[in-house]
Order: sequence, then C-alpha cells, then structure tokens
Amino acid sequence: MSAPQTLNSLSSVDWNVVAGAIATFIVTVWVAYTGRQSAKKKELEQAEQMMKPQAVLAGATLQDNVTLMHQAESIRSLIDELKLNRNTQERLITHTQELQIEIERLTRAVSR
Amino acid sequence: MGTFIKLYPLHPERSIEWLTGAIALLWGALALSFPEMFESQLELYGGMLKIMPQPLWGLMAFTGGLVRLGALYVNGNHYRTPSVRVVTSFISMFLWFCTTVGLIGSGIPNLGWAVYPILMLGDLWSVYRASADAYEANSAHKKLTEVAQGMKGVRATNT
Repeated sequence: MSAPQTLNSLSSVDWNVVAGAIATFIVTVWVAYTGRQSAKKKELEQAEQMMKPQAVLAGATLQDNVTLMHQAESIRSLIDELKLNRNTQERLITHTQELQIEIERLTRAVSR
Repeated sequence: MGTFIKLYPLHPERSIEWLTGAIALLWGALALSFPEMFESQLELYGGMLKIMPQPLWGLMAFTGGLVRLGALYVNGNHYRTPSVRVVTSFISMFLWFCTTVGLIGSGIPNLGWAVYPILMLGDLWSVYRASADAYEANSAHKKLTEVAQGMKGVRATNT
C-alpha cells in the first residue's frame, strides 16, 4: 500500500468509533476486574462467617481451661494449708503428751 | 430447549447469557444465510458495512454465539469454563457495540436503537457475572486439589 493510499484509509477511519471501542474495552475490563474482586470479597466474608462458631467454641474452651487452672491452684493451696494444719496438730498432741507425763510426775512427787 | 429448561433452575443468573448467546447465534446465521442483506438496505446497514463486511459480521456473531452456548452448557455440568464465558461475553458485547454504533451511524431512526444498547448492557453484566464465577470456580478447584493432595499424603503415611 502506497503512502497516499494509507493516508486515505486512515482518514476514512471514524475515530469516534475507535475511541468508543477503546472506552468500551476499558469499561469491560474494569467490570470483569470488579466482578472478580466482588467474588473474592464474598468468599472472604463466607470464610469469616464459617469461622465464627469455631472461634466461639475455641474461646469457650480457653475460658474453661483458665477456670480449671485457677481451681487447681486453689486446691493446691488448700492442700498446703491442710498439711500445715496437720503439722500443728501433731505438735500440739506431742506437747499435750509431754504435759501429761510432767503432770503425772509432779503428782507422784507430791504424794510422796 | 430441553437442555435450557433443565439447566435454568440450576443457574438462573446465567439466563441473560443464554439469551444473548442464542440471539448472537441466530443473528450470525441470518447474516451468513443472506449475504446481500446489508447491501440491499444500504441506508440502514451502511454504517455497519463501514465497520466490516457482512460475512465477517455473520462469522463473528455465529462463532461467538456457538462457542458461548457450548461453554454455558459445559460450565457447571461437565467442566469449568467460566473463562470461556468471560471471553465470549466480551466478544458478544463488542458485537452489540459495533451494531449499535453502525445503526446509529446510519442516521435513520430504527428499532435497533432500542434493542442493541440493552443487549450490550446485558452482556456487560454477563462479563461481571462470568468473571465472578471464574474466580469462584478456580478458587474452589484450588481448595479441592489441596484437600485431595492432603488425603493422598495421609494415605501414604498410613500404608
């Protein structure tokens, strides 16, 4: 094709139509991208919705575990106190027995 | 038609794609069957002939419509073809755009002015829908593949 012919064919091109076609192409690509993004967003929302009951269950289990841990600690301290109490009681008994022996000895001394 | 009735309740959101696909197929078939149609009504179709010759119009519409209807039938029933649907929706939209421009370019008021822009918008919506479907289908396929690979791994460790 010679140069004047090329120029003629270029001048016969309706540039408004070309611009419209390009604009339509851009709009279509944007719409396709928007569609993809909306599907992605929807999928994420659905995943969040599915996660909710599991998250609640996990939270409740964690709370239960913490409560159990506190209860175990309280029981442990109670046991310690009981042990201390027992020791005190044993010492008291020993002292009482020693006191009894001493009283018996004193009674015997007075009666002589 | 039986296929359409059978598929319709499964994918009602794709009805616009079926409709415009069928219109494009018949439109192309008519343009190919009557090769003198545009030239015999040059006043009306002159604008369209400026864009491209009638056989090319017919071929584009017929092929686009056929591939699109095929992809719609296959998609969700036999294999994943939403990407084909995106491309054919795009081609179909381009066809209706050129038709609208050609008919408006003729300068003669005709009923096509009322029909083709709406078909164009319908296909724009189809591009949106098909694109969203493409993402969902690919994402679901990826997850299923991961699960299948995980199960294979479990079987391999058990044996």
